Amino acid sequence: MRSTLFINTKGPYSSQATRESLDAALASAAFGVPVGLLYLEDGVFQLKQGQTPNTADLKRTAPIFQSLALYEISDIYVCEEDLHSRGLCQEDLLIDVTLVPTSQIGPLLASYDNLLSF
Amino acid sequence: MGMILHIVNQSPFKHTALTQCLRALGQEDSLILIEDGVLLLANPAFASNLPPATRLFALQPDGDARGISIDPDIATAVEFPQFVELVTQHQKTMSWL
Repeated sequence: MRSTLFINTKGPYSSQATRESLDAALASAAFGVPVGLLYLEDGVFQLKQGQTPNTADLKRTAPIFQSLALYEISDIYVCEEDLHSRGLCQEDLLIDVTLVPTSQIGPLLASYDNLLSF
Repeated sequence: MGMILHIVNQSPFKHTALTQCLRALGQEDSLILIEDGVLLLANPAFASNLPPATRLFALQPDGDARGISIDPDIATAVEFPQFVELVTQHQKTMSWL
């Protein structure tokens, strides 16, 4: 089965990107597709702890991130420089992730069969 | 066959998509500029580390529409059918949003 990496570059809540990416990733995993998730640029904010979107009448996405393990999605990558340049560190994130230095983003893209951007 | 065909459709003067792309671009990868991505060619020196014109493409109709000429020393101009060919000549595509 061809593997798919989902690349996420947008901050949460200004679009449906977070939810659409997770929906596609979960559906892929349910069909046995090896799935990876990569968070770049403002996409790293999707993983931040302490989001309270309900105060703005938006739905929380945290429970979906926390359910990824149930679907055996554990290859979750975050660009180290993008995370740190936004004042965040690994402890600020909802789930366990693998930090990837900028120099390894290219090889990571190369290691998957399909790339889908959100 | 090339590895990844990277696609950038955002202006480098407004978005970081091109910068993000260039930092992940591999030696066997190609890049095609489409839509507002072609605006880079108004001032290619704005970006550092551009690949050579053998691996840098720009969609001619999008350049024409915006009055941007494509310098063959910088990028190879392609029409839509060649864009499709490029997609088939690479193992995968990567859209930088």
